[in-house]
Amino acid sequence: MSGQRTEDNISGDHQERFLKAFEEYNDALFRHAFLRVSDRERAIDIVHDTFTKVWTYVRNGHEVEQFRPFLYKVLNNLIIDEYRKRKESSLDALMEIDGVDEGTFDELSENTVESLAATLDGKRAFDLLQELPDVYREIIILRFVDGLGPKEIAALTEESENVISVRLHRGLKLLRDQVQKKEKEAEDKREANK
Amino acid sequence: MKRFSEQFKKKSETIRMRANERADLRDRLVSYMEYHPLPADMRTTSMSTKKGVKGIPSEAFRIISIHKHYLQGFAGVFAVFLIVGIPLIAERAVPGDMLYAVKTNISEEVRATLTLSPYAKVEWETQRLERRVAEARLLAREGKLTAETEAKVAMAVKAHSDAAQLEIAQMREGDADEAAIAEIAFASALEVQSEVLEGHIALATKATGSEAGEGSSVVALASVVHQAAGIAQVAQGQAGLSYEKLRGRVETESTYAYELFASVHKHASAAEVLDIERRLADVERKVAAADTAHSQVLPQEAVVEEITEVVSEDSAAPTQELQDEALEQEETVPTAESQTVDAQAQTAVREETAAVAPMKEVVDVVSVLRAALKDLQKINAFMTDIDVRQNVTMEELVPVVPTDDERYAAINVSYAQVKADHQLIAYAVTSGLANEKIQLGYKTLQTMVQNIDAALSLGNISQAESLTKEALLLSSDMRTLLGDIELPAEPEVTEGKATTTSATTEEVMRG
Repeated sequence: MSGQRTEDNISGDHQERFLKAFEEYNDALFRHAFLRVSDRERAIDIVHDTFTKVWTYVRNGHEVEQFRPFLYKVLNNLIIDEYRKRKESSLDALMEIDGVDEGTFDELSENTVESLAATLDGKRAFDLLQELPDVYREIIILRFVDGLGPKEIAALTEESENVISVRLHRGLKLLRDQVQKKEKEAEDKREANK
Repeated sequence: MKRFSEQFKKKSETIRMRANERADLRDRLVSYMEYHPLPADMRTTSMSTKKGVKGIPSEAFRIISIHKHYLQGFAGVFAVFLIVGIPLIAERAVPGDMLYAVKTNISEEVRATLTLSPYAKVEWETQRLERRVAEARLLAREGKLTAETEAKVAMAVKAHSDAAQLEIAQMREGDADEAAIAEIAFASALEVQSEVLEGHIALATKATGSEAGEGSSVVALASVVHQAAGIAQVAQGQAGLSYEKLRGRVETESTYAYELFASVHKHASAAEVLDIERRLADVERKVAAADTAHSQVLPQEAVVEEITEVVSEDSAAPTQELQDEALEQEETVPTAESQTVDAQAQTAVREETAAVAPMKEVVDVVSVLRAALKDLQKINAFMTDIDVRQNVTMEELVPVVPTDDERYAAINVSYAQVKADHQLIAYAVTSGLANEKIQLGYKTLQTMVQNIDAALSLGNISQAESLTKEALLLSSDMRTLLGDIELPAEPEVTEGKATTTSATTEEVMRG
């Protein structure tokens, strides 16, 4: 199929930059999507849709200065759309967001996030990521998998930095709880076996 | 925290697309881009601003991209080839070749158009004519000159000759002197070509023992060139030319000749060097004679001027008019005689024996210089053109002009014969052996011998030459009439004026 393509259809600086962005970010976007939707094929589709949407945006004459934040933004929107399609799970997630109090002062310090993270085993926490509601999972993935800073995440999710920090803190706390819960379960199992 | 994020990230990196998944995704995306291409204006602007586009890093695209990249270069190289390469290759074309039309109709025409000065135009037309002759000879040597091609070449020669003549005619309206010089150059070039063709025919006939057959005959062309040379010769004889201008041109041409001679000296054979040296010496003598004659004419001109000044003392205008008239007459008096080798000598004779008009002198001086210039041009053609050297000998092109010493020697030989005959006839007359006719002839011969003696004592070499010639003719006829008669005693041999008896070029040169 690729052999039939001609350069006349796609050529020049825009294409070059766009395809370079694809080569650079396809893996990271896929990882992010996969961790969020937990479906390999859907994740690939979402990444594909992300790039086609960005391509359309470029075709319409818009200049994309930095592809990474823009791609993440589109990807994130598509993932949210995906959740909306999956009514039940997305509703759960939305309900959870609504019930959360986002802004207690003691939770806003970065130190508390750091000290909290210090108590966690990364590998275990990663395995338990799927247990988290998406609203926390999204932030944790963006922060620790995609390596975005709180500011970038805020811009991407169109939330304030405070909200991001609180969600990060709470997400880690939830993860810690999950880890502890799993550890307790394992301990109980061992004791029962004895 | 660091440990956590490291562990977390490391773990997350285990999640990635498989190679086939990534390739599929890429293909889908590229396909989408193909069906949703950028608008044309975005493509062109980006194309014009970018440098060294690598193209889309897909195998198929890359191949096409490289192709396009090279295409531009190739187009450039091709254009250069069209503009520069083909005309260069075409320069070697001969009639019948595919590129011959490019050579004659494009390259040469372009050069003709780019040549601005009328003199250069005449030169270029002459050169084109020479090229046509050379092409024809090349084909003839290979036996490929068909009658049709020869006719075409002959027509081209005629066309170039006419073009040159036309250019000269136009030049004459502006600068008569320059036109006359161009005419001399053109005439000598044509003469050289004519000689070359005749030489070619002679060599071909000698080699095959008969007339050259179909494909190698240049006879028709030779006649056309010969005719053109004849026309040029007549035309240039009619044109007036100032001494100064001609003298300047002769100087330039002789400088060039000596430069050429210095450069060919090493490679030429001893005989050739001797030949060229002799001709250059001949030319120098002609020029020196012309200079002497001219300097003798000048004082007379000064007298004319003086008179006119006295006549019109109070008015400057008539003086100017008269001077102009005098000059005009000098310049426009037609050349009465073609450039004979002894024109200078004849001038000297007239000076001594009769009152000669100054105008006539100028004309003669000019024709001597004309001859000198033509000789120089022929010598130069001989030295520069290998075609000329191959077909023509120096003697055919520029015959040796005997020096005065050589002429005296020749006169002495003839004169001695005349004297011997004279004595014999005198003996026959005194002893009653001669009839009436011989007695009558004897008187004429006696007068002739006296005249020869007078001419020799005056140093009038030309007169002596012609008289000796006539006397020799007469005396030998009379001897034939007398039949076998012998002198009773040994006749006295009269010593001639000159002692030099050198007859060959070599001896003269060494002398």
